Amino acid sequence: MTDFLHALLSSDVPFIRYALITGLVSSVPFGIIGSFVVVKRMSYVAGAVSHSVLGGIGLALFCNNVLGLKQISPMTGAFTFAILMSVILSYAIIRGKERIDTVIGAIWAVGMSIGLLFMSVTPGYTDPMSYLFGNILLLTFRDILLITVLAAIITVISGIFYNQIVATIFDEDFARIRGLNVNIFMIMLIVLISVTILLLITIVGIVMVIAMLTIPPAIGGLFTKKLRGMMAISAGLCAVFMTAGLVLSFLLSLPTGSLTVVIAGVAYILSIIFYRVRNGMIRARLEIK
Amino acid sequence: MVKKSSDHIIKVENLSFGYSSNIILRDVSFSVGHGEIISIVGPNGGGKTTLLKLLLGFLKPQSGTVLIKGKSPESARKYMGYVPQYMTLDRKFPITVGEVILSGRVRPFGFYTKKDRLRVSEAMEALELCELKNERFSEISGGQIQRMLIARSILSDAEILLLDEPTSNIDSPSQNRLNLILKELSKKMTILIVTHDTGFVSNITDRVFCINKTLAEHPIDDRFSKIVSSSYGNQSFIVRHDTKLNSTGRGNS
Repeated sequence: MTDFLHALLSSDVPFIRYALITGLVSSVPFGIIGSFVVVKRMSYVAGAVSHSVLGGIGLALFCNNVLGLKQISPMTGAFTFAILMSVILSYAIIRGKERIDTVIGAIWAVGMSIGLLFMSVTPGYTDPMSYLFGNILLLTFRDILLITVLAAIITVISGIFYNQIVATIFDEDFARIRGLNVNIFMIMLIVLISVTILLLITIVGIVMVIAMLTIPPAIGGLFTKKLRGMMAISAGLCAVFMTAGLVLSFLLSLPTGSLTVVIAGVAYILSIIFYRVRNGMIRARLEIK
Repeated sequence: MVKKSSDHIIKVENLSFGYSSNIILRDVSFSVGHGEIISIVGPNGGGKTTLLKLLLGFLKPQSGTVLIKGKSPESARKYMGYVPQYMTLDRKFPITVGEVILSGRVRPFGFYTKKDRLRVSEAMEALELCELKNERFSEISGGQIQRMLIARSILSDAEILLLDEPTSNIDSPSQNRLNLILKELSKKMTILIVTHDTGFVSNITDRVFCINKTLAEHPIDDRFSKIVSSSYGNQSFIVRHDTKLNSTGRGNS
């Protein structure tokens, strides 16, 4: 642990500091948006967006190395693809004429394939694994600034339109009768989910985004009656899991993303056991009375 | 004949609707006065829910007109309160009874005000829900959910209340309670009930519209159950307005 604290304060290894700051800054939007994803049952939408951004990353690497467009970073490419895919998904959901699981599957697979194709035609070796499973070494100071701005934007927008988004996802018909443009709020929610996924990819990677977006809110949902409570617990848990994942990966020399998700998974199982045992005891006490 | 007011709050003329060659509603015309309780009954696929969606402006008529307070349904939505079948809502949604009712005040932009929160308490009192304010939506009964959704509509200042199958999956005492609440609400609101439950509607309704592609209005009298049974194949029981319920929850049919 002392080694970790030493590394955290050392100027030689800034990426540890960057990773910790990124994890803590992003926890609030993760908690908020993850709760929306869980209650609206949109984890497959999140999965499709997260996997499809590999297309944007591959394209950005291609533009960078082959076309010489140095200003296009992998993060910029991922951001562009995340927005593009969320617009396509929103259109499909609102129009309601295509089978949504087919659209999700297509976006998921086609996005990844585009990414891998661009990576294969880009000179030099690009390891897709670092994007698929996360690599904190990829974080730069510029990324942190971008992540902080995006996290702030997600949190503020979610706060301002919280009541409208909740009304829309709880009972769309009633929200429409109350004069809400439910299509706008659905698009807003999907775009917010996509941008949140982008932040999460930098830490846990593309493949494990769904776990980190759904496990903390699922635990939160066991211990609170309200969505706000679920969001608060989820945000706290995100911060704890990411810090624990970072510390343990440093101490055990294991991948941060995978370790963070395993920690979250173990916490989820323990929470379910605790919840069931506690409920069983309450029920037994009531039966005795 | 409009019983409580000759002033039409809903006016539907020559309304037809269908999907390609499948005609769902054909040449439907009716009007509803202020303060009336109207029941819409009919077989599955007869067009009850479609009519509800047309009244709410969720669907556009192929021909004919729908006017709510003299306006198109889209423009008149603010006057409408909608109580969906509660099974269509996600029971696992982490929201309390108080929060659902408060959502009756949601606006396209902005937060809830102190006045909105005060009105929640009034609506809860009127619907006998006070003790459930902080209960999770998933933990209350079907009858309590119906009352919660009605309270939400009251909070939205609705003048017309549309209920979709309000008695499905609720027990007999809850139906009786709902019955009394709707009668009380009809002093201030116009109520339209879409239902299969002809026994329930016969107790509180001013008029009954039977829909099976076309609309026929039936009187609530001793002939009602025979008409419904012969037309739609449903066994029905009449509960007269002045009839006291017996121990089985049924009146004299």
